Amino acid sequence: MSYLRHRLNSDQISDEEVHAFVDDELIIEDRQRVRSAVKQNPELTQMICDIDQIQDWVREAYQSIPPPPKRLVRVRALALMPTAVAAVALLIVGAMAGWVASSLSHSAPGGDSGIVSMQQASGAAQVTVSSLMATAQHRNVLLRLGSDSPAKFRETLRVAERVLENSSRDPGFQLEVLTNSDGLNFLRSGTTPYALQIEALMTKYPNVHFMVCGTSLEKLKESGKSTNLLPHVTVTDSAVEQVAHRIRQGWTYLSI
Amino acid sequence: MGISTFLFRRLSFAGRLDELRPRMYRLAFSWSKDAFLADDLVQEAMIRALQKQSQLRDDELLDRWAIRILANIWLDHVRSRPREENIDDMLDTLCMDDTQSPDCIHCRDEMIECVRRAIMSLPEMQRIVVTLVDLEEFSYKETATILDLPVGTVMSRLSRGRQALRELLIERPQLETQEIASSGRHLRRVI
Repeated sequence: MSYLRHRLNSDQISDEEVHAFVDDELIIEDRQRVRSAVKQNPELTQMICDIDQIQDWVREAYQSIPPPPKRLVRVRALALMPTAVAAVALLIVGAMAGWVASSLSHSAPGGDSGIVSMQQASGAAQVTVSSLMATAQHRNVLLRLGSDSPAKFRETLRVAERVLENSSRDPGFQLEVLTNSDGLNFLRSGTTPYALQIEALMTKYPNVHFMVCGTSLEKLKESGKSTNLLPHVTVTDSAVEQVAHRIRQGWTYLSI
Repeated sequence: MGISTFLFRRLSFAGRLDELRPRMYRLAFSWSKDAFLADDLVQEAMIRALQKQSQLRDDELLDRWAIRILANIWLDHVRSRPREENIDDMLDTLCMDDTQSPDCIHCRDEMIECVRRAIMSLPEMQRIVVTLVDLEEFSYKETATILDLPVGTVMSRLSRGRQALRELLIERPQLETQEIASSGRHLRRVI
């Protein structure tokens, strides 16, 4: 073992250099310097053999790993793209809008030349809590919470209430509050201290829907914990699938 | 940009991101040793990648960019939830069976478990650097870009991480074997 530099023929070979030698990351001069040091020092030779062995073990240890847990619906990145033939027309329309937006940004001084995102393609600005709460929303909204931080859940309720209030004149407006992972606890009947607030919000606004991620619920069940949810809370297959689905439908999405 | 180019890039981005899923899952598993958590991390990373698609300037850098997102999500997760295990517990549970190095363990599964536990005992950044270099075979420069670190820092973390693995998986078992052997010789002399 050596954390110190190896002193050899007045050359100093650091541990980092030995590793870089094994990884073929040294320039020719340094490589030759390490090589000649290795010839004279069995300790360095052993070190190189050990590093080589460690690399083999690391690769082998993850060659075969447990498959990802089964989900009712496995989300693919392509899920964000309409895949059915019938939806191709829709894609082209969306792409046209994006293309126009892209062309505009090209012509604007300092415009981005990168890929146009879905939000940019539809003309939406970057969504933040404040921008979401500022005005009435013309598009449906999905809020997602994946943490068990009470402050974040209170923030979620605050945002939801403001958005619902702002959009109360739009009869078709829908808002979904989706929780996954530890965020689920806020919608479990035995664990949430916010049952009354949630119920009051749902009574006042029939267009708000509280949902939990089915995968997270499954995980909770496997750990032996109670999975009783508050009344009217629905279960979606998976949070990611739901987010992908709503983005595809043009909803505004915000992760809190 | 022509519409056909635009369409192609949109579709190829999503398709190529999907193709990265197994690599991202393997990395996330090597960091967390938890299939559920690894899958959640990958899902989250894919959502963020799709949302931030416009930030990718060079299509060729997609894998490094997506893995950078994954690493950031993992580090956020770790920061928000300090590990409960302490290093003593880790060492106690670290396979070995007192005398066996992974090389001489007959059961391959035990060897794999042994190495995975050793990797889990590394500090987060050392573990991430070791897996990016040894598992994903990224160069030092690529690893530095992914983690937004100077190359020198990558080199020192890699060196420390591998040295810790060397001690846990090679040197300690050898030392213990020698101790047992010498105590055996002593006994024979008494008899």
